[in-house]
Amino acid sequence: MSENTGLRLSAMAIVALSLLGALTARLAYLTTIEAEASAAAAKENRVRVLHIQAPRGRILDRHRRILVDNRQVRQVRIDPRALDEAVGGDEDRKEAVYQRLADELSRSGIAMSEQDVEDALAENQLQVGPYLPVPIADDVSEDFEILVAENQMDFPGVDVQRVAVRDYPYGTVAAHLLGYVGSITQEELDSIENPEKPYEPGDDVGKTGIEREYEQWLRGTPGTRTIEVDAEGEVVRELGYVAPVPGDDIRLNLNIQVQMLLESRLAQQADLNEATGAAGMVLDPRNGQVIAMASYPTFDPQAFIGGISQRDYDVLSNDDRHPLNNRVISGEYAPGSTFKPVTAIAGLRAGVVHPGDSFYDDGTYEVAGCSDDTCIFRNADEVELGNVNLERSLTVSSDWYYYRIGDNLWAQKDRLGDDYLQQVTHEFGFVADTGVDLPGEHDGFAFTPELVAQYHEENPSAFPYGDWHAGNTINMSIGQGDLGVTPIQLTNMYAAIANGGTLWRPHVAQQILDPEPADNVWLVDKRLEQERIGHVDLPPGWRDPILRGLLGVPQSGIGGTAGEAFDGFDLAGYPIGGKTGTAQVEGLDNGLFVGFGPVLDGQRPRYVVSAIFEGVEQFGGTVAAPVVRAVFDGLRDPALLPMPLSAEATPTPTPSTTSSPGGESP
Amino acid sequence: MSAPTLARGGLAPARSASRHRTASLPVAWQHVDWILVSAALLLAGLGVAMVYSATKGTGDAPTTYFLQRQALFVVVGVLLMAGIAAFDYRRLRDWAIPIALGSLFLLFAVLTPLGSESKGTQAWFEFAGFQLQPSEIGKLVLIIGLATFLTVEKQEIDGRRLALILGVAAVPMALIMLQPDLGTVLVFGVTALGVVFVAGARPRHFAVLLLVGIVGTVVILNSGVLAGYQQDRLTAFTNPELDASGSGYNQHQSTIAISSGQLVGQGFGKGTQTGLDFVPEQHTDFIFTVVGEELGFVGGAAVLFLLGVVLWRCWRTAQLARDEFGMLLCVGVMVMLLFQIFENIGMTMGIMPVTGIPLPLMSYGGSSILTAFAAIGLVLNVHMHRFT
Repeated sequence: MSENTGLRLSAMAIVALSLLGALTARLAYLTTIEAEASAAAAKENRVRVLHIQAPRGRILDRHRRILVDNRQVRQVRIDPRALDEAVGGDEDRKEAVYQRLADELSRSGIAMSEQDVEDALAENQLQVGPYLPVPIADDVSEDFEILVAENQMDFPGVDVQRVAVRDYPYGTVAAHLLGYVGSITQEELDSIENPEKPYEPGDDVGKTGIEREYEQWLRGTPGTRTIEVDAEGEVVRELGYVAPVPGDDIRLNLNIQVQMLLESRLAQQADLNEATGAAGMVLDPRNGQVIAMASYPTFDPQAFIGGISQRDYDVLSNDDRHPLNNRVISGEYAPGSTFKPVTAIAGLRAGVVHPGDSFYDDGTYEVAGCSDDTCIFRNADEVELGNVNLERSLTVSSDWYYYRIGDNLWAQKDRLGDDYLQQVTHEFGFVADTGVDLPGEHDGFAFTPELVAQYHEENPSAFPYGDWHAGNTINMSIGQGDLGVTPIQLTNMYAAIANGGTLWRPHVAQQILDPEPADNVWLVDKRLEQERIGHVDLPPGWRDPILRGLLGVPQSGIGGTAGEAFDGFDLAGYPIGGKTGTAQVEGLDNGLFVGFGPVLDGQRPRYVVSAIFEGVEQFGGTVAAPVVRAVFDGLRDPALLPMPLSAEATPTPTPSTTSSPGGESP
Repeated sequence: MSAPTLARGGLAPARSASRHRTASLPVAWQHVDWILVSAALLLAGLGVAMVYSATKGTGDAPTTYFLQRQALFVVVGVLLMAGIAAFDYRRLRDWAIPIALGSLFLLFAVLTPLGSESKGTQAWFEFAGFQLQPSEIGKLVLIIGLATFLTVEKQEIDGRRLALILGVAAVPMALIMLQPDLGTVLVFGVTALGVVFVAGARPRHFAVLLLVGIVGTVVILNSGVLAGYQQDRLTAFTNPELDASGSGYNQHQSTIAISSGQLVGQGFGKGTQTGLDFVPEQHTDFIFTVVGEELGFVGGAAVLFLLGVVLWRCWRTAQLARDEFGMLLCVGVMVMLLFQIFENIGMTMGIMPVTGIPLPLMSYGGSSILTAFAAIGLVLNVHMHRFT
């Protein structure tokens, strides 16, 4: 040992004493001088703001019958952090808990495997975020709730909570129109601005339909309970309470009975004819109120409660028939012969045809000055319809008459412009959204020579031809070819013909009701007001023969194309006008019928009813007209409508006391 | 050197009692340092209680998983301490080379896929639900190795010899830096500096080493070996409130917790900062936070006092040691413990950076507990064999 080891050891002792002294001094400083400020900071950490979910507003039909309500369900949840802590992060022990949960759930009637529990946890955690308990299964029994509560040692981190979920008394009826709710996504959290009704992860938000369109009204204003907790997380005292305010009810123009009738007949007919899809709607032509709107195939909004599983969602969204799509507003169809009134107005206005002009329809129309096969246009089945004027051409659906109009419009393009027919098409509300109060509406399309040239230039593989010929206009004049319309646009066009030329914006909702005090009607949203979106000039000299022609369509005695479907209907007492349509699409047909009525002197028609089937082998008169007729049967005699579940809504919903912790996350 | 020992003997009544009882035991066992043993056991017992408080969770069914494991570690640690005290420490000199090679092998193997990773550091072997951290064992091996090589020949420690010895010590440090675990590397470095200093390195050399250590640390911090968050953690302590939700979060909440304990604390199991999980890693690196919040200044000062007693007994044994090898072993253990104590507790109170160094004898974790007891076993050994 060197001679100064003792000295060096002493130096070590001094260093050690200084460092320990420094620590002691720091400890003394923190626990005395700093103590007050830290106590305040620590207390702030003990304050929890619990958000109290407010009940969502209900959705009522025009007679205040409840279409969408709230109900309480028992939901099993896992708090992943509590579970982690309880098992010390041991994966095997976690799996044992999942297994026990799966076994007990299966025993109580909800068949789940351990893997299902893990999947549900992983999927739903993405929706609710890292700090909240994750829903695993809904609608568990009361026995199960007691089991979990009494055996917390076996189920660490698991609880059963009563939560409010959407309830659909009418099941799948009007699913597309009503829409569904789901847990808010991160993107939605970032994008939805509603400072009065703030969102948190795990909150429900309207995803489609009315639920989404009127989200700002339907959503209740969350309440808060501010509490102070101790080290155990137990409540020490309440620091503040703000009561939740239920969301506003939305009253629709929809009549649930008419909706049920339309849907059931549409589905029945679609199944019978193996249609890949169908759409139908009932519209009030006097004001644009949507009385019914149906899309087939449909889905069960119940499946979205508590967060639809990814697997179920994939099944729905990958289905070739696209059951989630609302075809009424997003399907784009060639309108076929239902388009003929538009061509007629174009021809009359251009002066290439006059109401009294009569022609002999021999079933084959040849374009003037051209004789090869592409210049010959035939009636369906080359049927020879004899003498046709404007009125007769609609009743018997002469293609020849409209080929001639199309041929002449194109021949006189130097005078009229090369998109004269398309311009009139636009005037009737096509190629633009109608502005209906539903999300996801499509515009449809009507190509013009200019557009075709442009598309060809931009994307030659998708649009191999850039030229426009007489045949394009001729095809379009019978609603075929480069034309796509949505069922709602088509229905609205007939509404304009029925009411004398006005295009109203179709609207699904009519009132926002503050549920307390009961019946305090709010009319604060622009979407609820009657609004004119367009007008087509229809002088009586043109409209009368068109109306007469359309009124003949359901009459079998004079060869109307929908005569068979309306056999036995009292057309004298309740005159109905309408038009059949059949459009060839890739080997199969789309069958259409749009009808309106009653057409009585001194009264404006009250209803326009439309039905469209895709991928069928029948004419519109055969497949679609019977559905429209059945709806008119019900409209005319309400005794024939399906019975609703209840007469009227109760004015005040039961307030929910469900709360979820959250707020000040660390 | 024996005179002061005898004079001090009277201060420890426990020891005089044991003298009667253990008359038939080998002579060495009559000289057990019961003060050191008592202080270590008190600290470990308090540690178990604090780990329980930090991990029991909220609710009616407290979690006892961590409590049970930590208690098991302590029992095994005490047995290990007794085992290490049982043979004559001087035989370690003969085993130093195989021990060092074995330890280097483990440090190398942990970097291969045999080792497992957690929080960006690959430092553990995992088997049967337990983790072994070879760098913890490595601390003791470093002390034994340095004490051996510095006392091979009775000659002055000149520059060449010093460079050679520290060059060898740099190998395990480099391996640990690859994990990467800067905290443990710093423990190695400081321990080596302390041992070399007491062994008699020239002041000039020592100053150079100190400089090299500081420069080396700064270079590592800026070299990109550490992940960005590890760097932030290390530097955030300079102003934790500036970044209270990011890297400074742990420390900020820890400081609040200790501070809100005031004089006597909020009571065992009643700390809200710890109970409500505001302090992460509270049962491992931030165990002193639980002490501070729940037992206040009194509890914190008691822990510091007991740690001081442990350090004092190490230092005292170094003074009493029969040979230079024994003395350097005790100095190594003392410096290692001192640095870890200062860094860890300083970190919880916001005056040292966050490096992930556990508090000896108290933090949750098998490797850390076993290493601490083994180190104390070494000191006990030296103390027991001071006359023989």
